[in-house]
Amino acid sequence: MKKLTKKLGSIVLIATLGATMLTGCKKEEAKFPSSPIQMIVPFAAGGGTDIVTRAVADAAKNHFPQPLVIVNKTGAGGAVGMGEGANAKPDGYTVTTVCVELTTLPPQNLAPFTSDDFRPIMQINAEPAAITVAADAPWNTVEEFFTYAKDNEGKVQIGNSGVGAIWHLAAVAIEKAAGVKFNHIPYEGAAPAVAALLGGHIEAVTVSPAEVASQVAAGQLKILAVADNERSKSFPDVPTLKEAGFDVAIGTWRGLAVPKDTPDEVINVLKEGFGKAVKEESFTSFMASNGLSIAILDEEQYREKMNAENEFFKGLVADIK
Amino acid sequence: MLFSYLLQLHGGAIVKKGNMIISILFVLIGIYILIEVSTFPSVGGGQITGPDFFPRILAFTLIGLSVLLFISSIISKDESTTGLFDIYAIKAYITMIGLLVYMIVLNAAGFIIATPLFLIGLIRFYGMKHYPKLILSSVLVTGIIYSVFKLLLAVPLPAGILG
Amino acid sequence: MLELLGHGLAAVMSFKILFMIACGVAAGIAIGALPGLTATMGVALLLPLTFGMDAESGILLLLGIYAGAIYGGSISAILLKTPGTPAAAATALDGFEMSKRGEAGRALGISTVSSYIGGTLSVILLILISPQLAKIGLKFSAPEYFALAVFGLSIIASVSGKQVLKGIIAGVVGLLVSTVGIDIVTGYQRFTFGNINLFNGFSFIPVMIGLFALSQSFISLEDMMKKISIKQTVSRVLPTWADLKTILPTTIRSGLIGTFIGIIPGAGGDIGAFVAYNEAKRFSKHPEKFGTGIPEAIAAPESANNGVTGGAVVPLLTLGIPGDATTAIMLGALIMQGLQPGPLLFRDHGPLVYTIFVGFLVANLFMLILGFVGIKWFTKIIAIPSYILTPVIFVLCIVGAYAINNNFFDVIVMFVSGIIGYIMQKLEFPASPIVLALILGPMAERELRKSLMMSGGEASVLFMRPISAALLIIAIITFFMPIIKILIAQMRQRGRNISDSNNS
Repeated sequence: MKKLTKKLGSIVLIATLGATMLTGCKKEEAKFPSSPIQMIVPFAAGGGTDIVTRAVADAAKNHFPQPLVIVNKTGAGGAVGMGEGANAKPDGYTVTTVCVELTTLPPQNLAPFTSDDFRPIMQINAEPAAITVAADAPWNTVEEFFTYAKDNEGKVQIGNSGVGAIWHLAAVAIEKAAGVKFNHIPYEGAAPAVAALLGGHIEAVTVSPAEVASQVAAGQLKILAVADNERSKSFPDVPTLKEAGFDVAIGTWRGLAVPKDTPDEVINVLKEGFGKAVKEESFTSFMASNGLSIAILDEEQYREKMNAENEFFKGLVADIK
Repeated sequence: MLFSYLLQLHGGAIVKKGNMIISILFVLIGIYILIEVSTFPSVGGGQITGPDFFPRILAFTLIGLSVLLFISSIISKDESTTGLFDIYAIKAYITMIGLLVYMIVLNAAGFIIATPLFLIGLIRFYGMKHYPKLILSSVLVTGIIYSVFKLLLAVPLPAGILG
Repeated sequence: MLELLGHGLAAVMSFKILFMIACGVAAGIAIGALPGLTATMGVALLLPLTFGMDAESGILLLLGIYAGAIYGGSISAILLKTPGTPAAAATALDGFEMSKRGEAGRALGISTVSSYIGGTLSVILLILISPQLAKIGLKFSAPEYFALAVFGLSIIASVSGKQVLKGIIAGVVGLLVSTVGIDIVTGYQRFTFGNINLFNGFSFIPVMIGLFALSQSFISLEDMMKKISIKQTVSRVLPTWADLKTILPTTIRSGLIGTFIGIIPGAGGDIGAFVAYNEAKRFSKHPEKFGTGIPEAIAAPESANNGVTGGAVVPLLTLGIPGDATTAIMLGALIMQGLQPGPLLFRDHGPLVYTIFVGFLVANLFMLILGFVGIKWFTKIIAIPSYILTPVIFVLCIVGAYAINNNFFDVIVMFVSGIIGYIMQKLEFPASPIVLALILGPMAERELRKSLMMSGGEASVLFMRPISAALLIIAIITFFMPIIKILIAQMRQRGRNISDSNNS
């Protein structure tokens, strides 16, 4: 009898616990947002995308009544995190930081989604590729560099952050525009490639200016040109490739997005909150001090850019095969 | 009882036989890999930089070494048992099944529900019969792990339908 | 520099900073000791906490966690044969053997002292000659990385104990598993079967958790049934003078090895620990005792893996390039604090850098103190009846595997690895070779192919460059030595048998 009571008691206990949790977890049909918003970062903590997201979230905390919780979901070059973000419930509680990989991975069959699965909120940051060489290298302009490359077809070693990654694609795009052939050496990310450049094992890298900023400031490396439409604000003395006569503008970008069927009222709240966040002094000065550019695009402009890049990368990817 | 009798009939698995089975298995795996690898492209400019090079060499090595293992286990006079089919190992196998069930429930129903059930089940299976202490410690451990990981360290735990 | 050191010392001697360091070390030890959580994860998880703090507190907190976690991994390695972090995988070899004899306290004491010596040695080197050390790290290009990876792999024969053939087979299987994923050189998908989770190959930590923690837990269930339990004698917490004298040369050598491996960008505590273990065995007067539970075999890996912590900070601070996975995350912390690591950091933020240096020394000291204070408590943990402890370990393993990437696939990988690990233990296949293979396999293949890409197909480049040639030659010797030794022993044995049968 005693045993039975004990058993009954535990069943009642568990049932009560269960009921309490059920009622507690039911989301109410209240105004958005009524519970914390999750922000998925498809890359590792401490990396460029993670830092930008955290900076935005930090600046946005006063503009949302609910906390913004950042979650890193890494893997497959960003495909895992973005894939999850694309398939999340379109209720505005899952915001994903999307990057250029959104448009570079699908043509390589490396992602089970496309940019059409997302509804962009806004673009926040964009970094062009920057042709960077050692400070004591014999080329001081990008023309001299390309001349050397033409004379040494396939011998100039350019380090990138991985085959099919944006900086590799950038190097390929630059090759096409300049009519040269490089020897592309893949590394496990931008940092090891920069290390190899510092060690004199390769001739150049085509990563973002932010990733070489401290070495350039220390006089160890120099940037010959940026692949952008305008000069970089952190490096105003560096010409663009367009100025030098080479029509190529390519780089990475990061922005915020939600799943494609998210309703307008929800997305407008997000647009407003984050729109105010990127204007905050704390955010702008943080980005400036780290050599990260702020490039805001709204939903329509962002969508246009993504569509254009989808086409562009489809063609480029076919070239690297 | 019947089960353990049947196991004893089987004679248990001796290391020697186990080695032979494993070596054959590895040879088969090696052959499978060689077949798969033949579909990989060879990058122009010498096979060495192709994605097929390494797996191919490794597969050949595996096959070679497994044959060696096979031969050496035939010659060997080792009669020791593996313990894979010992009566004691039963606990391990049931635990594995229990873990599998826990993982499924975890994915479906979330950490807070699945873990206490798992702990209660397993601890009871291992022999502790004092129910109040059993349930209390299971719930307590779940609570501690939950608070440390989810609240303190902000590690998301499998959420499932409820929390 | 002395002046800056003085400033640093004064800055560290504030209650706030000391408290931060102590918290970091304590949290680190706890995180490292939990099977399933690693040092890198610990730093990644607590990184956001540092954003609101001032730079010194934040960075020293993370460094404290780093040092503490690398040491903490040895606790579960010694007590439960499950390395709490990959860097403690080599410690589990002999640490658990000592534990089985009831000498867990002695093993923990040795581990604590060794971690302290290795860590402090590396920080001293960091303070004195970081720019010069960084230059050495930069000299490493693809051929050198390949040679280092091959050298690491050659240790497989050495850590296999008596089962050399099975160890090599396990290593080859591990290497094959490491080829799963997108080939970095060509972008081609190998053995991924279209599963997005396999694009980057098997995440190595779930495999390690499964192979060691899970399988060991399965094995311990048998002891539970047989009602075996070992009484741990914790008579004294501090190691005996005899032990200290034995391990001193080993710890210094291993600490140096660890520091240098840490300096090389991309090589971390796990590689350092195994290399030091192998070198300690090579220099030892009784190498055959390695694997049975002797002090040097615990001192070497523990000193080396903490040596890596200081070494890995060298390229981080001087070049802005992380020395291993954990420092890669700290790079993010520095940037969030508005600090650009690199040569300018020393020039523009000198006092801060030296505060960090001194604080790091203090962190190692706290690790020593907390370690000793904790030994009595740690050994009490394994006194918890295993019918409660083992299920809890199972839950921790699952949580840990999930926490790495917030991906349930990793949990499945861990589970399968656990079953495989169990079968391997039963069939007397050593598990350490698989760990070495998974970590070093991708590096070896990738760097070999890059070397060929950069040299235009000339394989001789590997032997023309001094560092890579040296490492490769040592690797060949290391790999064949145990095999040759066994063959010689067998031939001697046969010789004796023949002469015996001749005489009788």
